[in-house]
Amino acid sequence: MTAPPVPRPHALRPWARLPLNAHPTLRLGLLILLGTLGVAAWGTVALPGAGQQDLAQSFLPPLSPGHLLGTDQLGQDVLAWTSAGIWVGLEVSLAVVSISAVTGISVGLCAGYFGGVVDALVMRLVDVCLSIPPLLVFVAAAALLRPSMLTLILLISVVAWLPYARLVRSVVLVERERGYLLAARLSGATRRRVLAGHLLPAVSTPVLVLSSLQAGYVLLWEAGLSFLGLGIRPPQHSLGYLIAEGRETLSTAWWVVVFPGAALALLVLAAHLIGDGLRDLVQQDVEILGG
Amino acid sequence: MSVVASARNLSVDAARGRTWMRLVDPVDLDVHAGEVLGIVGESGAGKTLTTRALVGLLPRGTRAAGEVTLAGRTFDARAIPRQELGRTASVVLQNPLTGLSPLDRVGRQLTEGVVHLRLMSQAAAARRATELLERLGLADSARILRLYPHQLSGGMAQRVAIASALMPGPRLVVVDEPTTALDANVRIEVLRLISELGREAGSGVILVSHDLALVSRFCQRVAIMYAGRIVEQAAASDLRATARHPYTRALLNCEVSIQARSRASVPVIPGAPPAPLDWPAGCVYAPRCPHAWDDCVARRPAPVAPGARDAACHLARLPCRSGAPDVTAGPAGREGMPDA
Amino acid sequence: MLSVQGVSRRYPRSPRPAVHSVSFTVDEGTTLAIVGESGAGKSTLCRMLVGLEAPDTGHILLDGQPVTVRPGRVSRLQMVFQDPFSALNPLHSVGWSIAEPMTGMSRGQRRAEVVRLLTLVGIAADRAAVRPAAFSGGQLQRVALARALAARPRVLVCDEPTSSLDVSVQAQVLNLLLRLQDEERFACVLVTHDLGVVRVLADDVLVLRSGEAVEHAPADDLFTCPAHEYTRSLLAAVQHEAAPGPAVPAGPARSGGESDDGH
Repeated sequence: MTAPPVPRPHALRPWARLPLNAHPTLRLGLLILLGTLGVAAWGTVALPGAGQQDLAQSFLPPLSPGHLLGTDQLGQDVLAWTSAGIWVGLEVSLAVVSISAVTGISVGLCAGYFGGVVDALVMRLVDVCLSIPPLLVFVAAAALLRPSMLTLILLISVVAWLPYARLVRSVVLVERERGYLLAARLSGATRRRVLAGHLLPAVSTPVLVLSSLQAGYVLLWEAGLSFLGLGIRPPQHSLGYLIAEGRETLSTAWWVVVFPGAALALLVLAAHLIGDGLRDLVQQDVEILGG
Repeated sequence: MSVVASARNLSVDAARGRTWMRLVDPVDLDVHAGEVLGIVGESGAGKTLTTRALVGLLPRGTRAAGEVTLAGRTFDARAIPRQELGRTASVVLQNPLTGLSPLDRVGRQLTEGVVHLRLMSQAAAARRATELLERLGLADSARILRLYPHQLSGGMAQRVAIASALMPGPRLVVVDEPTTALDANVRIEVLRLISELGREAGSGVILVSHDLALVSRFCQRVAIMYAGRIVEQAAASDLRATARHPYTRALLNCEVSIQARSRASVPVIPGAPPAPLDWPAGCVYAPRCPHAWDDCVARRPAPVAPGARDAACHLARLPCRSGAPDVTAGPAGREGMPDA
Repeated sequence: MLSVQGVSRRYPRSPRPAVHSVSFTVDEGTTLAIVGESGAGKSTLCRMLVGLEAPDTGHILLDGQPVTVRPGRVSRLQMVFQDPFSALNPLHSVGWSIAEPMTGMSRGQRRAEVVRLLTLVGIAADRAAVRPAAFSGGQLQRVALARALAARPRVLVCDEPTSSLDVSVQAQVLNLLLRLQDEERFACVLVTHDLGVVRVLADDVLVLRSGEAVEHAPADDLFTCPAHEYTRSLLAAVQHEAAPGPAVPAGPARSGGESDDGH
């Protein structure tokens, strides 16, 4: 029964206080993310001709005049293309995370709150879905559908909502038995109040941590599918497509693969660092409160 | 009686941003062979941190300073080697099941520590485990050694935890709040066993608790802690009748026992203990003390000497007073004063 | 007023019933203490009393009506839990939690009522917007009491309300419970293993062992001459080596706990 040191008032939600000094992981992740986005922004603004092809200028090496990162076999500027690919990747990532979070949270809340038959059925469905290798699903879908950004987003979301459902359900199962929730029921809380006023805020922080980690995975999935030709294709830009394109000429024109690859790696790294940093932030709160 | 463990100028700080916050002011402690020393205090008084610092088990984000002597060897409190914990000192945790891994059988968990530290052979360890369990009242020890922790009842688990702590024959055993997870009967039995076995083996036992009544029953000496310092030290038998520090007397007063009056108000200590950052410059109890006077606010009472019968209180130490200070209702203003 | 008749409950995979054929009544303004060791079925009984679980057999009636919990209706039986830190939603202010049972009131009325309740339990009213993490265990129990009172309960069920609190804080909370019951006249069912707390608060005592009631008597009778040998063994276990000396006067005893909201 020793008191934890410093029971000072502080919010549980991490975004209400961000003491970046004490969280190097989070700080580093944000730094990398902002740095990469900054380069992408500059690339988009300073070089408007992302899709301009000029066969006379194909395979120019980096630091050539007018092409800081070189050109690919069609003469397209690698920096411009990479920047555009970064934005597309982020778009897909945000869209997928939003859709899958909303779906997963809803399913998880229902399964955890209603319990019983509903819970059993839903979780068996989730288990079945989780046991199917996503790649098979994607390949099969690609054979049937025309690849586009929208189908790609929907396809990845079909797989990405599952971890949310699992996470939310487990949080709900724990919170359901806590004193404050029993007291809420005794206070006449309606179902809506319990779900929206109590359970949803309780899952918000774990969901946030999961989302930042998911964002990284979705980026990889998108790049991977585009690499295989199952995802985004010109005229839209994708880092994966560019990497695929440059694959054959890797030994002579390495810059076509390396720069988009580095951009992808940095973004995914940033996503993981931010996710880990957020998790540490939340964990500290939990430890202090738990005593 | 020889001293099995002692601390001099032991203090504990916690990291807070870039600075350190003091949680335990320098304390001096002695534990003698065969005795049970009780450390009593409320939440935040620093009793767990003090005992953890004594055996080198402080949590992350804290640091200790001062000198610790275990079984005759002196260490700097900042760096007590890990092996000491296994050999000379043991800790019995509050919740026995947290100290036992759910993956291994009880017998294996009892023996692997001492065998790993090369204190005895596997065979000798097995014999000792059986002996200890029987001594602790578990007659079918052979069967119990083959069980997994989740198959034990609460009382059995606590006895296994005690056996585990006694396996290496430690000179010092720290028992931390053994009261919350157990029923009254089991609790008393457990404490009785610990003090008996400790005495037989010549070990010193430190019993940490917030329950003054329990501690007085099982300890020879008691140290009362408040806001990071030891405010009084006395023989347990003396404490009730001749407590000198106003905090001790107030604490004794507000305990509820079955002799209390039905449906009548319980005496309280007005206010609350100060947080570590708000410790006053003078006596730390002065803001709540009905007998505080100017000297108390200005000057900190000197710490209690180890092993002495003393209270860290200016009033209690005044030489003209014999025995306890005259405790009539103090200056009227103090009582009704709302806390700051 | 609160009438419990022949209530039993057994969990599906358990060989023994958690609660077996327990009956008692509690009148307005009085306190019944339910004493027993862990595993005696006290928590199950608590949940059934407020309607969070239904008994397998038997009835629990408040003024003749069965006790149920329905969404949208504030229950007249409220509960105070053992762990103050999980008794309040950590993400909302204490004022929000206290206002949960208040229905049919305007925002201004709710705010005023929250202030009134906080003052009643001895917490500074300006802390209504603060989250639970900033309070100590004792303060949180007071807030929990304020929330329970906001529902204007007829019955308050307290499940080990002070066992996780320090001795001096426990004293303050016990005094508060005494005072509140005198003023608000609710019936109180107190579940605890601490006989000292029972002595202070209880008018009647029910002793529970392995889910069955082994003794049910007024507190004075039970403590002076316990009838059942299990009760005697419980009492014997807490006899201290000597009765405490004459109570040292620390000043005139107050009828309410002092608020410890200074920090």
